[in-house]
Amino acid sequence: MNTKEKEKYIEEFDFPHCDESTKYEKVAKIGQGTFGEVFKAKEKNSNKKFVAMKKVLMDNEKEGFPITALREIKILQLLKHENVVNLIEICRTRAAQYNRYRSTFYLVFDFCEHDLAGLLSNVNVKFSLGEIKKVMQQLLNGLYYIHSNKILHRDMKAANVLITKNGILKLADFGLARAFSANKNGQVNRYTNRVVTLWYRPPELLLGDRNYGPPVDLWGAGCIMAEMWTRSPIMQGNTEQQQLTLISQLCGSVTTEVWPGVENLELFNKMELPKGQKRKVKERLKPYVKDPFACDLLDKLLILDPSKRYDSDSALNHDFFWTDPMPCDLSKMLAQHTQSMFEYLAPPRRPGHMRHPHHPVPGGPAKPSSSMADSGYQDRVF
Amino acid sequence: MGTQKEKEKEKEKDKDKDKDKDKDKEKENSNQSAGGKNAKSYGKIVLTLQNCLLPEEKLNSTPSHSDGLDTETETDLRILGCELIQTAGILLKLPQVAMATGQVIFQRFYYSKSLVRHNMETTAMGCVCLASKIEEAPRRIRDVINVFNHIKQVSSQKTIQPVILDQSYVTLKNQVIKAERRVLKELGFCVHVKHPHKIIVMYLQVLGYEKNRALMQQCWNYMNDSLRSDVFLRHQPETVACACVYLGARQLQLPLPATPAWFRLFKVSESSIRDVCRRVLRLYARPSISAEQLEKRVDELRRRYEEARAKARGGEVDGHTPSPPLPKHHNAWGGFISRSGTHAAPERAKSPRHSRSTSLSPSRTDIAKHGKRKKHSSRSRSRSHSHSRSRKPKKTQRRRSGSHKSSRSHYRSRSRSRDRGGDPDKTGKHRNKHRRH
Repeated sequence: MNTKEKEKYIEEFDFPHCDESTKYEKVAKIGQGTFGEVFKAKEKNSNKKFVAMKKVLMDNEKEGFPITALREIKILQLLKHENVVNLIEICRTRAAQYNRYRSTFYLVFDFCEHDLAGLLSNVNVKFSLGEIKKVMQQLLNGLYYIHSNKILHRDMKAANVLITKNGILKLADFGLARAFSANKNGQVNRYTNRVVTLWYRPPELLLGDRNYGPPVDLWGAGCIMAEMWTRSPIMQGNTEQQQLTLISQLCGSVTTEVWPGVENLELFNKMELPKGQKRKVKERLKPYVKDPFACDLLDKLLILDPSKRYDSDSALNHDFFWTDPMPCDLSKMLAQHTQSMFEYLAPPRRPGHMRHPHHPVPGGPAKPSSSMADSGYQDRVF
Repeated sequence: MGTQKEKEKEKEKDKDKDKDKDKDKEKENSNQSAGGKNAKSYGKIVLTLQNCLLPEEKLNSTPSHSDGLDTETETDLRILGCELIQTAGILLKLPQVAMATGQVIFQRFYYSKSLVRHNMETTAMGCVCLASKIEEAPRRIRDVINVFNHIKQVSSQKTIQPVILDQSYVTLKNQVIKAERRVLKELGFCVHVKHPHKIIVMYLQVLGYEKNRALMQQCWNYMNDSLRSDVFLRHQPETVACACVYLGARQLQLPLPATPAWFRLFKVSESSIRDVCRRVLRLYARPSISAEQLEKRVDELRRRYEEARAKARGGEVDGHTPSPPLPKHHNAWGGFISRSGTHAAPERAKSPRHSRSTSLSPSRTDIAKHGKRKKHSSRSRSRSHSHSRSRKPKKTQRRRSGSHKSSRSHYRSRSRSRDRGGDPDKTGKHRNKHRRH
């Protein structure tokens, strides 16, 4: 910033501040999870613009403002990209007697009409191959961007992929995201492995890896991609163990041959790993996914060994995106649907199924697991 | 009373201002809808990771100033707050970057809120908590309170006592939580700070001095000391980095390229470097402060402010968050000065100051406790030595020698005296040693 720029900056300077949330009017609740609630809201002034307001959950917060929310805010301030949800501002309610003089904070986002889980659960929404390509291309573009900014999303799932009515995809919910660093001078990272919704959790996390990186998000991308055809999550385990079993049944047994070094993971000997399973990703998905390139890309994303798993760059270079039919705009298809589709609002996909399976919020306010407190687990993250 | 009237006037002014703001906003919005193109403007919200720089008038007329606090007292309070954050950070084993962030947001906050209305020490605690989270080294509020309590006891030569978990602890903790939120709210979540440490390293590499550890350390010392001034609200981190390099090189009498001037490479002007230097050097020239007087001043203003507000409240209820009642033992100074006998005074009546404090009746110490403390006092004193780091032999020695001339903390005088002679490099080194890695 040179002197002139500085002068201009100072001239236009306004002390940063938080507006009151009363400038928005809540319209409907569109999401609920361990993180709190999400509302659709309308700006009260002449703009009448729609926004999404995410409440920062603060009950039971004994240590003040949650570090996870601080991270989310910092990360969202850092990330500005077409395929990442845009944080407009942070609002607060007025502190008054009824809230014991503790105001509530809201993150205010640009409103997106749909989420992918909502769209996929609606049988009337049909994606053509070109449209699926467009969805995946945008998803991988978003991942490429956040990973090159050294951010891990850590909660990839269809419900966290938003799509505007114009067909622009946005990665959302950075509530579990964090910055990562490459291992330097042999110092390994010790991140928490209690992240990512179980159905989308990659094998390395299930085996207790704490030194993971971007591949954890690419596994989720693979799961989401398959879901574009199967229309429901492809591996719906109820427990970590069951999830690992399901993964083995699809991707083959977890062995040191296919995954050198896996034996060093903390839980490798503690989990029951099915033996003699053959890899049948293509075989099992072929009935749904007719396109051979799609099958091949899925095969590359759902690789057990994270170091061999495709990264977003090589995935974007895959022939899937560069053969006919080319990725095509989604807006025309979405124009046929006037109603917002969110997973939260959709009827349960299958009766009896949990809608929010094991959403992990380790250390979070909901239920601080005792195992963490006891085991001297220093990763206070959450 | 005159003050009350003034206050009322001010309030009205504020209201008017708000109205104006609203009007402005409406104008803006209508302009937009008319223009239709730029639908994306949300008032004046700035969401940015950049450092905030304040315009001159904001820096000169602070909220504390309008509450009647004079500039000198305010500066002293700011310096003391920053020193508290720094010391607490060392004791909490926080990375230096967390202390730096804490000090910058502390400074920023008091350009939005008044030192009279918002207790300095509680805010400092909130800033430590917040900064520890921002810099990914979270500390528990409990630990922060303990450490502040410890500093307080050390600096006032008291027996080292653990914090008692009573109602006032709970109150204090809640206040810290609220202070943290208030900082976030006032700063609109722009609490991420770009620090010049890395920039200094880079610049020294460019200048070919990267192997000169003494210079590097000297620059960083200046950088860490500069956090107590307002340079971070006046200049970009690059400028501060240049000034630190300039000061460091001058201290060690190392030449820097003059033609063309080295700082032009970093797009920094000489005048702004000089400005930073002047402000940093002024810190070392400041006379030591009579903390008692500072405290008195703030206390008085606070009392006056509260009186005025109580009167103004009479009928109408304003939406202003009432500042929470302070716990009894917590004076405006956070009890930094050993004045009242909230903590039992050491039994050895060494100085007249101490004997005076015993004569005041302690608010929550009964005689039995007092006696007990007597027994342990010598032990707990030695405990305080083990608390201080072995890396800092100087400090321990000094404390042991017991030459407490002023009631001000040793941490403080130590940092102050740094540049006024003695061995600045050494002093700086043991203070900053652990930050290098």
